[in-house]
Amino acid sequence: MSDYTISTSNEGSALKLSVKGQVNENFAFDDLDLGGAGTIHLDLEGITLMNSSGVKRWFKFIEAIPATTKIVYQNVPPIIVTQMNIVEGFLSPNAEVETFYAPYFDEENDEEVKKLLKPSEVKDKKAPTFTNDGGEELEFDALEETYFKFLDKL
Amino acid sequence: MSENVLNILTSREDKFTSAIGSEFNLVFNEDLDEHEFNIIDYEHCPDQDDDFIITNCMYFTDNVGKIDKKKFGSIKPDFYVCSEFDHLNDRVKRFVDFASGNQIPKGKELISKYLTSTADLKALFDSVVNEIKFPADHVRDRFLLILDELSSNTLYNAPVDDNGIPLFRRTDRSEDVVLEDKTSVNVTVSEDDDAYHICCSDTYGSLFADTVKNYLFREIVAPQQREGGAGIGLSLIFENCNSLLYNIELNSKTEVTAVIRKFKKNKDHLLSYKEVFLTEKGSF
Repeated sequence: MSDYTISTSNEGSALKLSVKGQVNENFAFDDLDLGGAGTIHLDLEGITLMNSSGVKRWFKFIEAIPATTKIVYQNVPPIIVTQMNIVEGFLSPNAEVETFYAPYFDEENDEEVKKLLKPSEVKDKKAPTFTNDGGEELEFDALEETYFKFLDKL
Repeated sequence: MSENVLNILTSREDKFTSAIGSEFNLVFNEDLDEHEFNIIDYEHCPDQDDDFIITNCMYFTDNVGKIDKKKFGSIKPDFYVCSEFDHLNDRVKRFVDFASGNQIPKGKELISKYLTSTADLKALFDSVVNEIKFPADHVRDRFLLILDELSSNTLYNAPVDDNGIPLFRRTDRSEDVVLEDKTSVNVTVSEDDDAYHICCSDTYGSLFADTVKNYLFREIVAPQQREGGAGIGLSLIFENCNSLLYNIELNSKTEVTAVIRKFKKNKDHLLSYKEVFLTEKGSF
């Protein structure tokens, strides 16, 4: 059984690829038919792990997509945001990030909360504020300067 | 000095026999700023029984005007005045314990498996995912990534033949490997109230302390442009753990332990200090 799945669908005029599971040394994409799509939406919400071998495989995957094709990252989980910040070139020139998750902490309920953000909601590298159901403000649970560093590359 | 300073403490066995059991005062530079890394080789001072002199230090700093990050080599100071670095002294005392063979307590053992093949790696990963309940998603994510990287590194990099030639170091990780010696590589996961411990050990003892230091320098202290993801394995481990402990007995055993603290908040992990302990004994 494979460690990951890539499912394809159409989203308007774009091709949508939803990647789920572990992106590791076994990640392969040779059988993917991109059909000459002008725009590819990459939904990464289901990725549970990307190790160092997976990062290398991911680079090859992105390199295989024509440079004229627009790549739109959607629902990027925190573990991939981290890779975007650490690994030079993770975001290729033809890529943009439409939405990504940011970690918050609800002190009142003592639990993690992930909020889906758009890059436009982050101004001057400050995390937008949110409240819980009781009106208590959530604490942004990362270091803003580091977590939003990838936005400089967009 | 900031809590964020990383200290990589190393020792050769002969340097420590005179230090075991003795009280000591750490001598250190007060002027270090945040984001500085110190790779310190200890040497017992023959003239002052209770003091260590730092004979080999590499300082790196982000501040413009201070020592250039790219310019490394040893700086040989005479000594530096100790300051109120209680947390650092505690850490050094822990290191002395570690180097003396008193292993840092790891708590209750959760899983212990010998890895004999790539298939065993997968099975180990699956059993961890199914059996361990983590206090937070970010702790689980860190743990799984470290387990994956560390155990894979051990399985592929540690085995050598009778002539010391690596067997699988150049093998692509997508290729399966099978070990002839079924008890040579072990992964043990344990926990206490404060942290998880992932310990990968092997009976080859083929990892050199200098190799570790070079990797640490290359990937953490002065990282190169990590284009294409090359060489980021150790930095991923380091970013996600709180302590990294190397116990090397050349030609006999290598033991690498990553400690992941059970912080409720992700930010607490990001702001916590990190440490790397490295000891090497014997010859290859």
